Amino acid sequence: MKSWPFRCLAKLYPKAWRERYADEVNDLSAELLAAHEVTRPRLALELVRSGFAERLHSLNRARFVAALSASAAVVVLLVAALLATNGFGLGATTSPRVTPVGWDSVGYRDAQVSFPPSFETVTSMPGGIFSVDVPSWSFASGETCVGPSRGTVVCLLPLGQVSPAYTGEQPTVINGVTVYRDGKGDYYAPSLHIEVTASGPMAHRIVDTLTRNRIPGCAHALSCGSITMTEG
Amino acid sequence: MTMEGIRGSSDRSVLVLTSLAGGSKHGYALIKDIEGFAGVKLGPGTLYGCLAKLEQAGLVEALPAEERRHPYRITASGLEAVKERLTESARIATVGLGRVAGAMS
Repeated sequence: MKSWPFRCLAKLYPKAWRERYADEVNDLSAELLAAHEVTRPRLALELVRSGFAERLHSLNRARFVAALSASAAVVVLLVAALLATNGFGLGATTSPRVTPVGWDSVGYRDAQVSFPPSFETVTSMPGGIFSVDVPSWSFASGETCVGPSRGTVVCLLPLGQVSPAYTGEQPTVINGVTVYRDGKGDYYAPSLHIEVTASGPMAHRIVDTLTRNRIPGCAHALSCGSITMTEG
Repeated sequence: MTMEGIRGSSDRSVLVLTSLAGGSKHGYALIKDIEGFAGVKLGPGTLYGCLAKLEQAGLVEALPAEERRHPYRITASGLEAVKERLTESARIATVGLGRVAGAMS
């Protein structure tokens, strides 16, 4: 770009285009001027018009790429969100399941479940976790899940303590965890090595918070969280 | 740029491809050749804008520079594309000329 007119007009063109073609355009411009094939004003006008056209073309392409990238990102995020909530419902029933704000999460083996703050959660190692919303109710035994006739009782027990009757049951997926249910309030989660026994008005709501143990420093622990220890 | 791209663009792409179908040329020779057979005088910005798109589409390719000037050569895809486009133009021209002749007689 050593001679007028292209040196001062080159900036009108996109950088990539300029780097590739500017020298050639400049040489050709000089050649046309030398051969009196074109006047300087006419050449300058043509170069300005072409520069804007190239810039517009470049912008359109950049916008297309940006729009395509943004769309791809949105699709990826949507797919990720759907997968996280099992929104595709592949082979399972689905429902919105969250751990409500203010609830206490406790871990038991590979499982995590959440309870309202009003619940009292105790464990009788290695028996399991027992959570109940009946004040002053005491667990007589850590080996079974026997609660009061009123209120809600949820117990997490090692898988196999209760006869695994889930074979052949249609599984459901709760927060990414495949769970078999027998219709009597028992839920079996083989991948977490636990089963859940739940009864009472809040039972389903609590079971819906079942997920893989993600409590920091708690994964695979026998039990952790706001749990009261009792004698087994 | 595919054939659709050429169809959608102005005829400049066809002019450049037609010129290069007759042999490799650098910018100045292209301008003079196109002016000769089509009566259209392309400016350097317009010509290289066109060459850039055709090169990006793989319809033409730059040859090694000769005294700072890059000759351009039409590719096999370029020949196929311009043949298709010119055949279509010829068909339309034949139909159109026939109808015009009929209307004038």
